[in-house]
Amino acid sequence: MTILILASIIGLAMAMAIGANDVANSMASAVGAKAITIKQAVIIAFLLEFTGAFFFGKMVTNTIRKGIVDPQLLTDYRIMIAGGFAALIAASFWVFIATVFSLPVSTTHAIVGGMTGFGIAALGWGSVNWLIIIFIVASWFLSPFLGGLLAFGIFKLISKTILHKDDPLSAAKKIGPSLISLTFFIVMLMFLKKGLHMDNLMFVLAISIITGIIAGFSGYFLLKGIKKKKDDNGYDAVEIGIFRNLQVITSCYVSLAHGSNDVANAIGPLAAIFVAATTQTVETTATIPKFILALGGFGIAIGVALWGHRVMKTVGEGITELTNTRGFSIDFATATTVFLASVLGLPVSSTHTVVGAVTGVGFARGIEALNISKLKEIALSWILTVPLAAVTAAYLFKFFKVMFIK
Amino acid sequence: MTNFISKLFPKNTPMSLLIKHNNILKEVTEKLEPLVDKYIKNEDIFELVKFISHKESEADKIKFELRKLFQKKIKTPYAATDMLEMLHKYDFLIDSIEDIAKKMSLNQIDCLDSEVEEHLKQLTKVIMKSLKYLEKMTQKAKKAINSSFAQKYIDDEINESIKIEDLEVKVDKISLKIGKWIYSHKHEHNTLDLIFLKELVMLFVEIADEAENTAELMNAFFK
Repeated sequence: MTILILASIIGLAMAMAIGANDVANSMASAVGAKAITIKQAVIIAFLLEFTGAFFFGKMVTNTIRKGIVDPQLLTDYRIMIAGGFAALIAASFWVFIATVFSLPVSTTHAIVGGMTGFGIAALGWGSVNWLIIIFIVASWFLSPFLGGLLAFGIFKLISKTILHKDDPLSAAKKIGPSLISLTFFIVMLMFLKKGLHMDNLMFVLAISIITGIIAGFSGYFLLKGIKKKKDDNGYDAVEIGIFRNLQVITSCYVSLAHGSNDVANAIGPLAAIFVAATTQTVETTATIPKFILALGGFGIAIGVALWGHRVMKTVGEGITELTNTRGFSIDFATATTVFLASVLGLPVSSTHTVVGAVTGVGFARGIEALNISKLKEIALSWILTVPLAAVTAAYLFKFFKVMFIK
Repeated sequence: MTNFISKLFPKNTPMSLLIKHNNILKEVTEKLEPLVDKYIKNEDIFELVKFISHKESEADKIKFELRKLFQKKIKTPYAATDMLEMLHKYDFLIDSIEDIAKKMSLNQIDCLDSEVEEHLKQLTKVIMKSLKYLEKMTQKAKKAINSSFAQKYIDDEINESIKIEDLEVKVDKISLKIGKWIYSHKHEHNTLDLIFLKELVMLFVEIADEAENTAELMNAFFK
């Protein structure tokens, strides 16, 4: 019982850290572009992160629990408990350090590093699923590159077809429905595939296409009613009337997807500890109780409510240069890249993708000033996350083993 | 508590700092007319000179901040050298207005007649108009960036710069009239006063020339 309470406390702390730091990353461009206020962002994140974690977080949790280290190689359930604790504490520690120094590390990579370190320390190098590690290394380059490329393309498209036209509002009324349609198509596709984990691709595609078409038609009629204000030459109507609303949708989606994916980082090892402690075996088929998912979702939501607003306040006040067209390009590129990567089975980090997307818009001449020097610092923190979390977890595991097992 | 996304964006952008710098230029430009009026009427200009000098040092702080911004690696949709050159030109304009104010505080010309007074007032008005167009161009530059360099805004900038060019021609004509007045009165008035007036007018002419150069640079800036 003591073990479960301790593990729950650490898991909850990790979930709160994710809520405090990661959520701001996923909502940053929307708050920065004033698509939503800080209060709205906190409410959206609170509700959707919990919903995503509670209803759709199970699959990813299983991957973290048994996808990195093969539990069948473990003979003693106490090793799993010690390893779960070591991974959880190591990942929480590095996420905390990263939060203090404002480094955009991926919590997914931190927990994968933690589990890997435990696996190596417990069973040697052969016990780790190295394919996942290779995918992670590939994702350091792939996710920002893909996010950047897509954001570059989307922003160039918006520039050429809307912003550069003599009457941007009329142009947006023509192009807007297609963009709305595409946004809803992607959001629905991701929701069904990543959120609900539906495997029937044809069905998923059909539903997503229908949703996109309905949204496109509705968008056409909604956009028809948008009119310019007296002193506006059409840009404000395009930015505020069209792209601000589109960004609200993409932000909601990013929040939901984040909750469903990242809750696993906090409760994956917790689930492993729970199963090992309650069954006193290294069970691979046991189901994860709903209360663990709820605990993770609750932790993320509480983290958002308690500290997330402070981070978002900094984002909202710090980024004055993001307009809604830029924000939409970033959000859309991030959501699409994360979806494409998940279809390909790559564990990409939405945090890494956002960095790439922001840079992509910058290279498309969409952002007036981009701090390129920070990119080096960011890249270094990505590369260091896995080894640092792994080494910490390995030492912690050795310590727990000496103290409590032998 | 900071966030890495905020770290990717500098607190101020170069253009927002240039606009801030330009707002100071606007403030000192507005003081040109009362300065010349008071000078002609032989009234105390001390407060105006003090105000302009204070604003000039404020502008220097912004200039320093903007230069510091480019010491880091910043990705901008324009060349950093163009932005710094433009800043240098804006700074020159503020410095020149301060030079006019300080110069006026050194010596009072007693020989001005109504004809040259009128020319001086006209010269001031044209210079102010020219700087007003430059201010408009700077404000529109921000809009051009927001529109991702839409041709419409670039054309607007070109139109404003043509107006500044026309005003520069006007300034030349007025300065020639004043020059003629100076030489036609060389036997009647104090030579030092006449040289002083010539130097003062030359400062006005330099402002008009630099405003024109700045406008041309602004046009090249977006290409």
